[in-house]
Amino acid sequence: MVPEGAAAVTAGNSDVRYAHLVEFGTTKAPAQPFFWPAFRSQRKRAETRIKRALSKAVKEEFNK
Amino acid sequence: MSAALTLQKAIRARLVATSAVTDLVPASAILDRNQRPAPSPSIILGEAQVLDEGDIARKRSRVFHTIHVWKLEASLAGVTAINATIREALRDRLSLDAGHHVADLYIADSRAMRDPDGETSHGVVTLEALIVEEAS
Repeated sequence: MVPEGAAAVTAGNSDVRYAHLVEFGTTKAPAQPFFWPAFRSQRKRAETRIKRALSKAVKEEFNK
Repeated sequence: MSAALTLQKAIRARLVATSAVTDLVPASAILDRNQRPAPSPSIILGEAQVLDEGDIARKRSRVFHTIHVWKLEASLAGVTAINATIREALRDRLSLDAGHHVADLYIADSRAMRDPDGETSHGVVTLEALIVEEAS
């Protein structure tokens, strides 16, 4: 579960459980890293946007 | 030379020179290649991502290097042991070719997985390094 005031970045769901096999490859399939490279390069931007959205929501709701 | 490549050369040189590693994986099987399946046991280097570290002078790069370990074995014990010796081998500071300097280097992630072929173990070691360009 994702706690309040947080955001989770995930790949896959209960139907798609092979994200790690695509990311790291198998003996028969090449590795096609998609998750970690994107996570690393977009991390700062995502953090900034999450923080901004949080404080915006707080400001809008606080004085209601 | 690129920060990622000079780091990769230094990592390979260190692994090949460490007997704890070569006891488990022969030096000829520590390589950068793409064919499948990888030899057993083997350490495959080369998957790197370089991010700008954000300093004003633009001299620092964060290099993420993904090291793959492959071994035909019944359990995950072999790759887990190889993962640990890789980490141990890289504990002392690496010296790079002139022009780059390792400011920080650590094993950020290390995991052992069962390959879906039912007989191979697959280790993934993720290394993070802060590389600084310096005048050579």
